[in-house]
Amino acid sequence: MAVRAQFENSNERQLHAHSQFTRRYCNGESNIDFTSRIGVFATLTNSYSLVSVGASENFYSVLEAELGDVIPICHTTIGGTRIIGRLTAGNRRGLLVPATTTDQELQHLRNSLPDSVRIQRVEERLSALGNVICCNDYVALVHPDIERETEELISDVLGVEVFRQTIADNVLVGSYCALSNQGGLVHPKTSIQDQDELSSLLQVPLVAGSINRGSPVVGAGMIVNDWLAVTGLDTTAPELSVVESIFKLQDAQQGAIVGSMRDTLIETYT
Amino acid sequence: MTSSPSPFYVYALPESLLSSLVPISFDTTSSAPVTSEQQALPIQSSLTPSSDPPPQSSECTSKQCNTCNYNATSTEEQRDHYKSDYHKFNVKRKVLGLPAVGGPEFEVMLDELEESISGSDSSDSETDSPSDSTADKVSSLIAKTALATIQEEPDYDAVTVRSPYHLFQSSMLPPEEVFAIYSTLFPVPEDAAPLDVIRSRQLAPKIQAKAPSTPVSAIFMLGGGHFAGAIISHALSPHNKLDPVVFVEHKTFHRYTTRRKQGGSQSASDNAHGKAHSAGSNLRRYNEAALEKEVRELLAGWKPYLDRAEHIFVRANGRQNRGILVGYEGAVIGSRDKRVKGIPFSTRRATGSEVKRVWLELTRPKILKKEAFAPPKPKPKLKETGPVAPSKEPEPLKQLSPEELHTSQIVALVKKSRTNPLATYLKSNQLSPDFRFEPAEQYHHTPTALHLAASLSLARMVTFLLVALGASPTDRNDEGRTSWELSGDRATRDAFRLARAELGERKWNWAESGVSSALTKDDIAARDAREKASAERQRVEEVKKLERNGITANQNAATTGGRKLASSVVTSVGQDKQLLSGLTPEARMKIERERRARAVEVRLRAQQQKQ
Repeated sequence: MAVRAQFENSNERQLHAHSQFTRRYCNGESNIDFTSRIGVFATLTNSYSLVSVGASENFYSVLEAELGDVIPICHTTIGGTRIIGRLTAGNRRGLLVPATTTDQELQHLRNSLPDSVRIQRVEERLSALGNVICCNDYVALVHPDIERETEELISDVLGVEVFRQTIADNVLVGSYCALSNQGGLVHPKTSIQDQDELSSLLQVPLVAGSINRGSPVVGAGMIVNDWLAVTGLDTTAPELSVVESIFKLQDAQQGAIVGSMRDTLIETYT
Repeated sequence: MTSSPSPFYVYALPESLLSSLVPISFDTTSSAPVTSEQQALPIQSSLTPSSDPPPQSSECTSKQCNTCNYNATSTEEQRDHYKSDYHKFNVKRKVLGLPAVGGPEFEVMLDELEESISGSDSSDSETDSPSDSTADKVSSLIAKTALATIQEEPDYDAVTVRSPYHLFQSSMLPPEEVFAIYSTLFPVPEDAAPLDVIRSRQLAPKIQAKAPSTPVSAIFMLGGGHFAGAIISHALSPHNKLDPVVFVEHKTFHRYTTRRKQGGSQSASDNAHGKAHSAGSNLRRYNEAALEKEVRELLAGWKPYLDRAEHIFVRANGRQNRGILVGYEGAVIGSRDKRVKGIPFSTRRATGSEVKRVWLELTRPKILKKEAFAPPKPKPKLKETGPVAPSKEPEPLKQLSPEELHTSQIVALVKKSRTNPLATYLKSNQLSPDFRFEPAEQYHHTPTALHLAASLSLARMVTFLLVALGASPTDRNDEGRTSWELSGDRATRDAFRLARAELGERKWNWAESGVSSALTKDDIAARDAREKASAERQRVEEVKKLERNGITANQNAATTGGRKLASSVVTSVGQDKQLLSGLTPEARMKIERERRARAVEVRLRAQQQKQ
C-alpha cells in the first residue's frame, strides 16, 4: 500500500497550510520541502529498512505499523548525517554505504540487519550513493561517471546488472528514479522513447510522474519496495494513485473488494 | 557549431571558389539579406544526421538505444550493447552535450587515441599500463573530446580585436558564413591584397609532392622533453585521402627531462634552487644537454630544406626551449628570421601525428559564422543607466584633493625612507617640510612627515627632515605631542639630539619640542663605549660569581655529604636565579613570596632580640 508520511512535525506548518505563500514565508527556512522528501531520510528494500534518527514520532509509527513485523527497521546515521537515503543504496541482497560511514555506524548496521544482507563500504568520489545508484533486486542504473571498481562492487554486493544511464538527461539517476521489482517512476520530463528504452532495459513498466505536489525528484521524494511506498505528506491524490498503480500496490485491496467484501457490498446495494 | 573545416586546401583552392571570394572588413555595416531557407536547411541537416527521430516501433518496449541510435534484435544483444564501451562513451558525450558518434567512428577514435598515446617513436615511458581495459580509454577519449570542444569555441574578444584569419565572403556560401584562412600562412605586404597573395601561392596542378621545386614549410614543436620536427611539402598526397600530409623529412625525439610530480625542467629548478645532487637530477641534466645536441644536429642536417622553407612554425614554450631551436650561436634558424612564426592555436604534446594535425589545421580553410566577427559593440556606460544606483567607487577617487594626493605621496616616501626623492618631491611641489597631512582626522597621530618618521623609528629620515629640510620639531599633533615624544627607540631619539647639536640651540625652541640635551657623535661614541665597558664588567662579575658559587657548592658537597638539606638552605642568589629561571611565572612568584616572608620573619626575630 502507499502511505503518506512526514519526516518531521511542525505545528506552524499545519497552521499555515492553506496558503503556499504564507507557508514559504512563515517557515523561513526550506524546511517544508525537506520534511516531505521521505527518500532523503530513509531507505527501504524488500529485506530491511533504514531510517535516520530525529524524525517525528508519527513517521516512525507509520513505518513501524507497516513494516514492524515483516522486516527490521534500523535507526542510524551515516557519517553523522541524517540524509541516509541519499547516501546509501541497497536492495534485498546488500547495502552500499559511502566512505564517510564510521566504523561504529557500520557495526551498528551489521548488528541490526539480517545476516543475509551484505554491507559494503564504497570508496567512491560520488559519495551520495543514493543519488547516483538506482536499483531493484535485478538491475541497477548508475551515474555515467561512476568508477569501474564501484560498478563491480555494485554488481557483486547487490547481485544486479549495472547500466550507466541518464534519466531525462540527468546524471543523478538515483534522484530522478524510484524503482521496485514491480515498476518504476521516473522524472516527469522523461521522453516516451527514453521511457521505452529504460523499461526494456529494466524489464519493468515505467511511468513518468512527479511526487510531493509536483516535485520532479521522485527518487528522493519517496521510498518504495514491493509492497509498500511511503511518500511525502504533500503528495496529491493523483500522484498517489499513479504511485499505487505503477508499483502495483493496490492489487491486494482490489482483490479484497471483489473477494471478501463482495457480499457486504452487494448486500448493501440490494 | 560556429566553425567547421571545409574540404579545401589553401594551396590548391579551386578557381571557381577563388574567383568568388570577396575580402570582408569589420567596417562594413551593411548586412547581407536574410538567408533563404533552401540554402540553410541542407547544411544543417547534414551537420546533424542523428537528429532524425528513428521510426518508432508500435510495441511498448523498444530494443533501441536512443543514445547511440543502435537497434538491437534481442534483449541479450541490447544488454550487451549497454555494457559496451561504445555505449558508455556515447552516454558521456550526451552528458557533455555532444552528439553521439557512430560505431565505426568510435573505432577510428580509439585507434587514434592509441597512436597519440604512444606518440613519438622513442617515447616509451608514457604507455605504462597497456593491460588496462578500454574503460580507461573511454575516459581519456572523453577528456580528449572535451578538450577539443573547448578549443573549438571561438574566443570572441580575441577574435574581434585581432583575428588570426583572412576573412572572405563567397557567393558559394550562405551569407551569414565566412571563409577563413589563417593569415600567418599568407603574410600580406602593405600595398597588396590578401586575395592576390593567396592566388600567387596556389600550386600548379599535378605537382610532385617531393620534387625539389615544390615549396616546403617546417614545423618544430618542443616541450617537456618531447621534440617533433618535420619538413612538409605544400603539395598533398593525391593517393592517400585519409592521411594526405607529405613529410619530406620528419623526426621525433623524447628525452626524460621534466621533473616528475614537481614539474618544470631540471635546469629551471637548478637556476631557482641551486643544483640538486640526486641521481634523477643528473639524469635529467644529461638528457637536457643531449636533447639540445640532437635537435641542433638535426637542424644542421636539414639546413638545405630550412633555407628554402616558406614558413618555419615553431612551438617552443619559454626562452629555454626556444633557445634550443632558434638564434643560438651558429643557428640554422636566425632569431630575426621573418619566416619563423608561432602556431596560432593550442597544440598538444609534440608528436608526429600532432605535427600532421597542426599542418592540416593551418591549411584547411574554415567556414565560420559571421557574427563571431562582428565588431565589438561599445560597452554601455554604467553612468547612463540613470540616477537609480550611482556606483560609489569612482566618487572618492574624484574627490581626492591635491593635498590628499600630496599626503599619500609623502607618506609613501617617508615609509620607504627615501630621503632624496622626498626632497625633490617637496621642492617640485613647493611644499613646506612641515606640510600637514590631509585628511586631518586620518592623520591625527602623525600630522607631519617628522611625526610619521619618528613614530616609525626611522632615524635616518628624522635626521634628514630636521637637518636637511629644516622640519620643525616643535609642531604638535592633535594629541598635543611633539614628534620627539612619538619616537620609539633610542636611535630615533639620538637622531633628534644629534640634530639639536648640529642645528644649534637658537634654531628652534628645543625646550618646547621636548628634545633632550644636545648630543654629538663623539658623545654617542663615548656613551656606547661606556656601556660596552660596563656590560663587559657586569659579565665578568657574573662569571666570577658563578665560579665562586660553583666552588662553594662543590665544597659543600665534598665536605658535608649528608647535609643536603642544610646546603639547600644556603643556596646563593646566583644559583637561586638559575633555579627559578626554569619555572613558570606563577611558581616563581610563589617561591619568591615565601622567601620574602622568611626574610621578614628573620628581621622581626632580630628586632625582638634587640629589644
